Amino acid sequence: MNISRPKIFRPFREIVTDRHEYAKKWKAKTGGKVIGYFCTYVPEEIICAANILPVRIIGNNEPQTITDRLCSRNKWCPFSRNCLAEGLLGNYDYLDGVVLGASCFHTQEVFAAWVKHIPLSFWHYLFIPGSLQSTSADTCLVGEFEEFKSSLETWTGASITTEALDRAIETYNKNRQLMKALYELRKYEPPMLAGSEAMQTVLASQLMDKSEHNNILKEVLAQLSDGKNNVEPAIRLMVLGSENNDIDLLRAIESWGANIVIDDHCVGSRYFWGEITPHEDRLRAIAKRYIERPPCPTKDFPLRRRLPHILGLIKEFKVQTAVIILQKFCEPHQYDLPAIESGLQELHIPSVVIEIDAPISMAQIRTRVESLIDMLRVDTY
Amino acid sequence: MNKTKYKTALLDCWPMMKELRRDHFKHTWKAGEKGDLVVMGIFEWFLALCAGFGDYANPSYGPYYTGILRDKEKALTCFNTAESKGFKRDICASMRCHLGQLYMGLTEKSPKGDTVKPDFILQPAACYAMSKTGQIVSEELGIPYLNLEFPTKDSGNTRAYLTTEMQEAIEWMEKKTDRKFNDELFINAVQNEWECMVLWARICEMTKTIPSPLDYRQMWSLRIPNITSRHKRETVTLYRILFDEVKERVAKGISATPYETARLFHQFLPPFYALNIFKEPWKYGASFIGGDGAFTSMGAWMIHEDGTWEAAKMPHERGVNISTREAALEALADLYLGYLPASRCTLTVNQKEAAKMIHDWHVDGVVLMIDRGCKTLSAGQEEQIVELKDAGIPTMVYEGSHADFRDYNEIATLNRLDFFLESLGLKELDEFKEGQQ
Ligand code: SF4
Ligand code: SF4
Repeated sequence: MNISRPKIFRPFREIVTDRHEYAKKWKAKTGGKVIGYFCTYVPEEIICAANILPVRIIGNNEPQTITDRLCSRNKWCPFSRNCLAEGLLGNYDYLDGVVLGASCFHTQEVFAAWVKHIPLSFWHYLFIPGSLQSTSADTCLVGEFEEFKSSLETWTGASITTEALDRAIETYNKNRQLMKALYELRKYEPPMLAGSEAMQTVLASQLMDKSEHNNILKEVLAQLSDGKNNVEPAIRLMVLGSENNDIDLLRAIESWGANIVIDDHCVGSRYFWGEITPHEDRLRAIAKRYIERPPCPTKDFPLRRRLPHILGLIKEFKVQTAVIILQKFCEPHQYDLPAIESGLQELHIPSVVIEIDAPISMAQIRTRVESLIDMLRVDTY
Repeated sequence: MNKTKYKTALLDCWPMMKELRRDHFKHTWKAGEKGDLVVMGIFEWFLALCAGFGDYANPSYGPYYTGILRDKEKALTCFNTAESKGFKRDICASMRCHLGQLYMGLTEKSPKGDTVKPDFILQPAACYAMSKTGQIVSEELGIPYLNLEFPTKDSGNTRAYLTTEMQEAIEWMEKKTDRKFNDELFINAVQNEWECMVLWARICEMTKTIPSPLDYRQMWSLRIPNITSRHKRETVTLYRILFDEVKERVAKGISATPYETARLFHQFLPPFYALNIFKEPWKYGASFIGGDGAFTSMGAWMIHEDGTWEAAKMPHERGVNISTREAALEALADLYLGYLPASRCTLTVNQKEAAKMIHDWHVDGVVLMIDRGCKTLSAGQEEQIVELKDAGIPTMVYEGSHADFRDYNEIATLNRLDFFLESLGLKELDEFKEGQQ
């Protein structure tokens, strides 16, 4: 298995594995509230400024039937159904509230079911314009963030001060800088960390206190900069597509002869790329970052911003091949597929599309990815 | 079981509806010659917006959609074309049909074979699939594209966003076409749009009557001018006449079908290419008398706390005066965010609604299609099924697709519908005559 140094990333691995325990302990330690959020367009900075821990709601990639009555398995993507399953199974029983940043209909549907079937004292629906490129989107987004901020204030009974927002912005920006620094190490040949380790790091940051994540990440970076590199050279591969938090899948892909050197995923670069530029109007500054971040396909029109960004990453990270991961029934990413495939072809980047369900059918995926890697090996060596 | 035999009669305004539909189609091809705007896109919302430039045509993303869906061979070619370009089967089937037309070179082709060049694409983004289809068509054909977002939440903020977007859309269209927007035409069109949608809801309300003056199959056809041309005066005239006629039918006890042994609802989208599902219950004397697919396309409804659906009131009936562009834009935002149930996110659906409708329309059974292709209009489906079943309302669920015949097993579905009707205690009638139209 091609992983750099397991010990270095152990803290993140443990948090990802015991994410519910982590949040419960945080709650016990701080006496604070925890909010579960759907979709990375939720402005966590505002939640953090209210001294609340934001944790991303994710499923566990296992087959389940508990959601069948509420979300047909022939229509809704397994990721969204599994998020709801975690809630219905009671695994998120420590949450005080939930918030949705509206993107695809799948998450909206699951959020609606969550609000109805898992009553909590707080829920909020953030409308995030799909037309983020439109000139009126920023005012709308600022308006949404203002409503969200005041509903949090009403719920907690405490106002969110400008100073608190500044602290949160600073913490989140720091995290983005550190994550970017970590990703820089993937540009090396061989990269200084494995793709699964990068994903673990991003996922942990979506599940834990950001300041704590920053502290651990600083140590990780310090340890990685000791000049040693345990990663073996291999085909440089990019993963992109639908939501995917399956670290085992990434490990498997790397074990078949590739190094995952970059991604375009929301449990990946899309989450932390792009910082907040300070502005007198804090919410406007936050909104600007969410408008300008690498877009999710549900927010990528009339012009395509996502494709040039992906192609840019391919060049920057010297990618040789790509695996496009699609959740079954994920219409947003299916729509982008033809344009992405032809963009890759123009750069002579061979790729395969793999469709994932819960559970993932590893044997099928292996055949396809291995033949892609083998083909490149023949060409390269 | 209600075995009463009712009087039936043809609808007098049926030919008028057909003529309006024909005119709309013909105008699509003549608009360019006449110097009218040609607006591409699934332009079914905010129709008044383009009316500020006078008459305009809307060929959707190609004019052959309905024809293609009805012809399995053509539909298959069309879907295969889209799929061969990489658009997978989980993408909305309607949009795959449009993408198929695009790659088959049909999008801008008139039936005579000449090319009709649209001025621009204006896509009210009722769903993600529409926005993305607009993008792809724009890229392929080099047509300027504007996406007009349809917020999924109703609040002061989203209303302000929508009105700003519409204002910006007007300016954008002026620039793209070098034409001047006429506020008076726009204001009149907004009033027409409102009136058609209110009238349609009022007509739908009358199907609560036993016997129902209209059945679902008729409603499915009658709603078309309301979808395509409700900003026009002649469409208002049609629905005023229809409203009076339906009222008279109610007064005289004229029924859409000879029997109403059971009154059925069809919720969500039906298979567009197999609407004979609406006739299947006739042999049992049962009839589909309503359902949200027709009620909400395009009806303006107020939904009360207890789940009651009531036709909305016209702005002037609520003391709202529409005499400026700003007021007209606000009235449009009000109409679509406040009164069109189909545009809501599941979160805001009142959980008592479905059962209350079933009660108010005196419905004996509900039939629903799980449509994997449309995530938008089928949102909330599972919740509704649970709600209906919990309320003890007989419900039949079948799987299908509104536009892709390959995802619909007609024989199995009709057989299931027969079993369902028999489970309601119905038997096939010896004496059975088809209703009109
Ligand atoms: S994987 Fe696709 S369908 Fe599922 S929640 Fe994400 S964008 Fe939506
Ligand atoms: S059928 Fe549904 S998914 Fe398709 S365009 Fe219409 S609303 Fe959108």
